[in-house]
Amino acid sequence: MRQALTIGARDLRATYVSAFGIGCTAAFAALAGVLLVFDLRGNQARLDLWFSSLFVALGLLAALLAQRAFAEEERAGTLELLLTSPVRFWQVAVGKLLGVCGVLLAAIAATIVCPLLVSSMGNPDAGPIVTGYFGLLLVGVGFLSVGLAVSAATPNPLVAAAGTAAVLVALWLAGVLAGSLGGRLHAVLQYLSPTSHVTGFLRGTIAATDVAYFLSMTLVGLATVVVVLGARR
Amino acid sequence: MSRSRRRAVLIGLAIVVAVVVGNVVAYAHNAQADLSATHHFSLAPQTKGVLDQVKAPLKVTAFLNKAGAEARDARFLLARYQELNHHISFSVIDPDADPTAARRFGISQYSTVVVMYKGRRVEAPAVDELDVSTAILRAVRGGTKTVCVLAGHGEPALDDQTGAGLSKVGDILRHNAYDVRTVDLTVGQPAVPADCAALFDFGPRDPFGPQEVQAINAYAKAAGRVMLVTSSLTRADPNPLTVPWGVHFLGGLVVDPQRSEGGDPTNVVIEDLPSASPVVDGVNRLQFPASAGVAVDPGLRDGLTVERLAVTSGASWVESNPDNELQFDKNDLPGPVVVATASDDSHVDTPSGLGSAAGGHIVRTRVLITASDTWLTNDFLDRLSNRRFFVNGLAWLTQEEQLLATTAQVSTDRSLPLTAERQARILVITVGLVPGLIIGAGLLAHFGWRRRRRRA
Repeated sequence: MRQALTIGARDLRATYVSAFGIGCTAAFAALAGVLLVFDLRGNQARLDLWFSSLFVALGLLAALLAQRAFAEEERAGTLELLLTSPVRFWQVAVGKLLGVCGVLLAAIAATIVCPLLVSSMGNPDAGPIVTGYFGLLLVGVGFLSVGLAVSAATPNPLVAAAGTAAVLVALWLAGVLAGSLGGRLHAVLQYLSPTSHVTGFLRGTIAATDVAYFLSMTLVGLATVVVVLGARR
Repeated sequence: MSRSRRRAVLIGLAIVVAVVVGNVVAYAHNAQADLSATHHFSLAPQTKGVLDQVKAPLKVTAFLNKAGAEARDARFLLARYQELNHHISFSVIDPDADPTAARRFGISQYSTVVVMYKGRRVEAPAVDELDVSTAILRAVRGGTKTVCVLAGHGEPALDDQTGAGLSKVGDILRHNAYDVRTVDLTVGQPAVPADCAALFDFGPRDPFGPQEVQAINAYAKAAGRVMLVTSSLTRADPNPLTVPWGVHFLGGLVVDPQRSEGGDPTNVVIEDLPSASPVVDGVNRLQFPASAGVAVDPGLRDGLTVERLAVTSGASWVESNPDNELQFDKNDLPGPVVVATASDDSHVDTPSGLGSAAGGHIVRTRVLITASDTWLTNDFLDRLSNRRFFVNGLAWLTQEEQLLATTAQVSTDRSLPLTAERQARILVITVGLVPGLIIGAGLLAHFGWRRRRRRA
């Protein structure tokens, strides 16, 4: 695990030394503020709509952050070195995930000022805010691991970002498609869609199915990274 | 296949199995922790019991203003129903945005829920757990009950769509799987059909004949269910029908200068709903125009209980001479005035010649009396909680009581008017200050790192 932490810390440092990491975090915080103004137009001190918008923004952020994970190594010529070093693939995968999760954590932390502002102006229910943030972390980690899997499969950062967005949109479409179907296929497609798993976080509940879904997404993403890296070596 | 590759395949398979098993177990158990302040989305065990009975596709359609918070809460609640039973599907339709769908369902107002199950249709008056679960139970149980509506005394018709008509009441009865039969006791042999699950008299104007009174009371005594909706406008004396159930009709006209609407002190708004009766579950306020008063007998016989459902304010009174003045004087009765009651009379009916120890069955009569009839008309049914009051009364009389004992929801004010000043403050802090601080911290770190590198 130490190697994974070392890789994660190195990636995190590299991201924040460049303008990219700072820019992503600042842009996400600013976007959260703009969304807050839009979503408070219902004149209610509730943040479910705001969290719902942030989940979508999180998909974009994940695509942006993950695209660099392997492509940057490839550009700098250090990927080959990394793959041939005495580090296991799962350690590389977990390390890369930890690195991008650090940026995610900072971006999410930068939005905490929004519920604080709402609390100072009104009386929001604290439960949905807690579950909303829990959901943001869980969903963010899941989306990032999907992004890492796509990023590991391609040397081109643009293709990686577009591929991640495509996978996430496809999962979202599964839920839309489920609406027009019936029976078991409806249940399976609906379960596969992240939209049906964020509702609980928005309303103030944490359901075992939602946690299991996003943990599974993370696990499958990491396993795919390991498989892809193995194939690349 | 090399050893390392075999191992990789095995680990991959183990991950797939773990993911599938983990999700299947979570899906089957559907456990959740509800952190919301009111635990609004933790459905009661009774609701879960009802959902277990749903074995075929059940569609819940809620008609709400999609832009409002109510629609979001409805989605959250109905999603929980769906999570607990995957036969359930739901949709939220805005009648303004999709008038065709609203017309297809025969919906004319917001906050209506339609439950469809095996070709049956049941309506609920609001999107909350109590109403939706009750509607699902009714849809699942199936079958129809016959309710009888008295005619022959100038009562408004159930198909009358004018403001003074009762077509909305007729719609509620039909949409809740009740067969409606009109009964006119003024012609032929007066007897209420035994298969009437309940007998309604919505606003009689003309007096009842003695034989009619006898027939209605005979029906009520034999475990009958009666709703008598009368008012100060009636020329009939309702007392022969109400006194056996512990209620005296006082007549007169209730005047309440403190709680009334539209500057008309006889258009009374009722906020005191002191009973724990299911008839007032979820009812916040009622609007009873042109109401008379009723009084509950001080000494009720054993087995008879009378709930005071709706009481006017202390500033009200029963005006004894409404045609000439609306000032309180010595001839008037001071308030608070009871304007709606629910009588429940239970006794054990033992076979003749045998003692009470020989067994027998409980005979239960229920009588709901309101001293205003205007509240039920098309013009007033959708005012305040009038519709809810009627639906609850209907369920109580026909013994389809609502499933859940509603817990008192703590009503918390969560309004936040987004003024220009607040909007500006949010934007300055979130779009200006916070990103600025992040960028500043980033620049400091960047230059610090470069300086350290140069020194190194």
